[in-house]
Amino acid sequence: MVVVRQQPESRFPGGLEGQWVSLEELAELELFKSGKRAFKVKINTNFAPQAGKPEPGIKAAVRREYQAGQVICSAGEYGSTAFLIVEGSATAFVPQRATPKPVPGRSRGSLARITDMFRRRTQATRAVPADELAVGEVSRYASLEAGAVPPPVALGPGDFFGIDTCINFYPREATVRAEQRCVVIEMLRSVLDTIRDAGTASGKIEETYQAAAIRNQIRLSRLMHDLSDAEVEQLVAKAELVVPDSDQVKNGVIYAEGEPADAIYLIRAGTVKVSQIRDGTERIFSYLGRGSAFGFENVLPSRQKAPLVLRCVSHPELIAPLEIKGALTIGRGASCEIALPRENSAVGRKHARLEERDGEVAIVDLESANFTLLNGERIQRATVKSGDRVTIVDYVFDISREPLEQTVVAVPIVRSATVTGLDSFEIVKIDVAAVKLAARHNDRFAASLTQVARTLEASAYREGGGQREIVKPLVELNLYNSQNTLLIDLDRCTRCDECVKACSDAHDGVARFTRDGPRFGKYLVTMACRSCTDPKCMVGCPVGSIRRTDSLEIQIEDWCIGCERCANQCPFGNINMVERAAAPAPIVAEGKEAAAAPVQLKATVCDLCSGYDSPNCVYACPHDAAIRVNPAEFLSATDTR
Amino acid sequence: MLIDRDHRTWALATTAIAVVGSVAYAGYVAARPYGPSGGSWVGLGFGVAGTACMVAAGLLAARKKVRTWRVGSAQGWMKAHIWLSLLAVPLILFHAGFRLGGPLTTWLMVLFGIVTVSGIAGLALQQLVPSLMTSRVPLETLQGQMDHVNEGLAVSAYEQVAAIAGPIAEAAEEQQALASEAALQASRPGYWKRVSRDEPSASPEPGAERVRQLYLEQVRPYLRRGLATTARVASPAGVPDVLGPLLDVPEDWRPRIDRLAALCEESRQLEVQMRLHRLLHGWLFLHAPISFALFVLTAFHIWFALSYKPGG
Repeated sequence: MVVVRQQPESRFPGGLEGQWVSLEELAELELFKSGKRAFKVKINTNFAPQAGKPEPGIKAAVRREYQAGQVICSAGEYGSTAFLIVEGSATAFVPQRATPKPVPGRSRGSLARITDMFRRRTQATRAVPADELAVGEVSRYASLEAGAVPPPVALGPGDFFGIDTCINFYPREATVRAEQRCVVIEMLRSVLDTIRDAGTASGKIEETYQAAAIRNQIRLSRLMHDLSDAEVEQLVAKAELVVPDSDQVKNGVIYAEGEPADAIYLIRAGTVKVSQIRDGTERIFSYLGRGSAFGFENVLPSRQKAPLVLRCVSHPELIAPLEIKGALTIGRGASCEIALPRENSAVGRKHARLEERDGEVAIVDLESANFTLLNGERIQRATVKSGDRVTIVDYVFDISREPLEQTVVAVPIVRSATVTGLDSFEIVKIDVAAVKLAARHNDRFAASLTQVARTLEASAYREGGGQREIVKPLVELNLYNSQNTLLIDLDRCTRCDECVKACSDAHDGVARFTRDGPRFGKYLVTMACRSCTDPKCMVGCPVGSIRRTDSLEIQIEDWCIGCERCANQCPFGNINMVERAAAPAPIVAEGKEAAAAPVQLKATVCDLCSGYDSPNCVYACPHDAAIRVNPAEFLSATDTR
Repeated sequence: MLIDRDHRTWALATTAIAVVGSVAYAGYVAARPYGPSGGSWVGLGFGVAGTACMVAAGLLAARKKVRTWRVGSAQGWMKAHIWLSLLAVPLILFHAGFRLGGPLTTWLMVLFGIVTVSGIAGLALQQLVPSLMTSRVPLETLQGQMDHVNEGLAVSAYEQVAAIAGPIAEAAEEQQALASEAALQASRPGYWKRVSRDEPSASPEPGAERVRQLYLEQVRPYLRRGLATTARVASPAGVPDVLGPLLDVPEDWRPRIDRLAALCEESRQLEVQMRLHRLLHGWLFLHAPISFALFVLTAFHIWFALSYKPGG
């Protein structure tokens, strides 16, 4: 973290805009009651007015009033607040496609455009057309499309909504509209966390959140879009939300290879790694993100080949059929698994051996005097397959896959790979028996399930050639979590620092990124905010000043108190602390020395040049070296520039 | 700026205009029995067009002063700068009729030549040096942070050697830097990420003296740039050469010796970076001021031309 001695601005406004909710008012609400002292201290810190002022320094919760028909929040919008209905009622519904509220746009008139050219700050529309943003779309690794539109949910006093956005920082999944005059309390995450930690409503919040999370995830999953409401509810009843703290998760492992395949999983948040350990080396198959599903071993029709069976066709009464597993020795010796009559001295004591390894079977002649024949030809070592015939002196054996009677035993289906969550995650686990039951009663769902499962299996459980080379560094550099990264093509960059200077020019003399960082091939992954899918910097801000508002970029509001927590939590060191404008010198009595004003810091982060039509670092690069991209999409595609 | 297929339109347009200009010039020369003149209408036309190209190309410098203005992307301006400058060459030559003229125009042509050649040289360097820097300096750092990073390398090297050989009085700067770092960390809140440093050995083993000696004679002077590029550790082959005698050190010292070698290698790469950086930007010290001088003289030339009265 770098402390830059500059003065970005001197404003220090306080929190959310709106009518402040006082401590006394909040205390009347059931959810703010708690016997814990620490909780009361936190509440006081968040809500107590400043000395001599009617309102607190930071308004972490505000009261809002909506009339019937007014929209409280819209699906697709970014945000960082949760809502509690105090009076009235509202309806939450998920539109098929959400159009986020556009940033105030500039006029398209030619005269206005010419004027805009010379205006230092433009209020321009986002580069990505709003209607291209699907509901909940965050990135390629975090895409979610509304398959089936769930029915509207009625909300009343005491109900929370917007918790997912407040906690996970994903765009809002539902639009909430007031049905009648509706009073809500809008709160920052710091308040919600306080209540979740110790308030009486903490249980209710968790229940509300988990129930909504599970139901929404199942309803919105493309996999489930053929299910009826009743069938969805049956799955919801057999589903649970798995998070890193869940009992079943050990060191991030959601399930390990070889464990019973008793559930399927839908990823709601975060990224998981699918891998196997072979010969002490981890083979990574894929990384799956929001909207993906995994764990279909027990849902797919079995593809496992029946084992090869050895049948003696010349002397069936002497030698019983046998499944070929591991190593089987054929000979007249007593220790042979396939013992031929001792009196036949033409057969060697250990004549030949069948070796099975990973489904492949080979036959090896053990330097016998009278040879081993495979389909009539003498062999030393050869692979055998179904339909082959092995001859040892007078004994003729057929190889086939016809199952033995005793082999038709239900073998428990186990996981073929280990799935490990990276960082934090939220995954909906659905009991496989419930899924199979739904599939038995719903042919379309069964077909859809098999199709999606086959597709996922094909992509997930295959160690992709070129893709793997991309995926590994993507994960090593933590880029799978990035949505918008500033990359610099080092073969083009002349290290002129125009990008840094432009950033500095756009942000009151303080650059918000450093032209340094790890490399990905010829690209430099700069130390600029990556607009993470799962932004760790936003977790734990005591005043909720670091947040997303209505678009992708992370903003640090002016009510930041400079505690440096976000800067320390950013894994990439992409948040810098800067000095605010010096506070006015305190008035002191004549002859006395004034105490030095304490240094007031403020966190700053790349805001993607909010207010400009494109980031200035890219716009000002004369060499076309600076690019802002979704790294997973950009780096996995062939660079055709 | 890399010249790639994105420049196709500019390249074609420049070539087309140059060809048309050449044809026009050839026709113009053929039609004038006394040869071309910059003062003729056609000659003036070439002069105006060439000067316009030069001025438009020169506006790149002004564009760079207003980086956040939406007056076209910097890439667009850079392309315009490159191709209009190149286009100015034939136009100005046509204007001059391939003659130097009087003292002022001779100076103009000299400056114009320097600007053009230095620009082309700069452009050529930009095609090669960035990728060279990318491949040869994997540990590249910010140019402005070079001294700071070098200081950090020297401190880290001291830390490694002191952990084997105990505190080294001769490395006073390094000891001072470590003390300042510790004081700063102590003043920070508990949740701050901290740099953990190895403590100097309290009871150095006898063999440690050899490491200490080598550090003081070879490694430290190099990292402190006392020996600059003449030091044996200043080449990739030199590092194992210098640290080679330490191959028989105890096994638990080996990671520290390896780290010492890595620090020397990083320092060497930074030196390569410095040289390449100078190469990449050095030409600008000629190109930019001479361009300015060229514009001043061009203004004089225009003023003289406009105030010229035949027979006056």
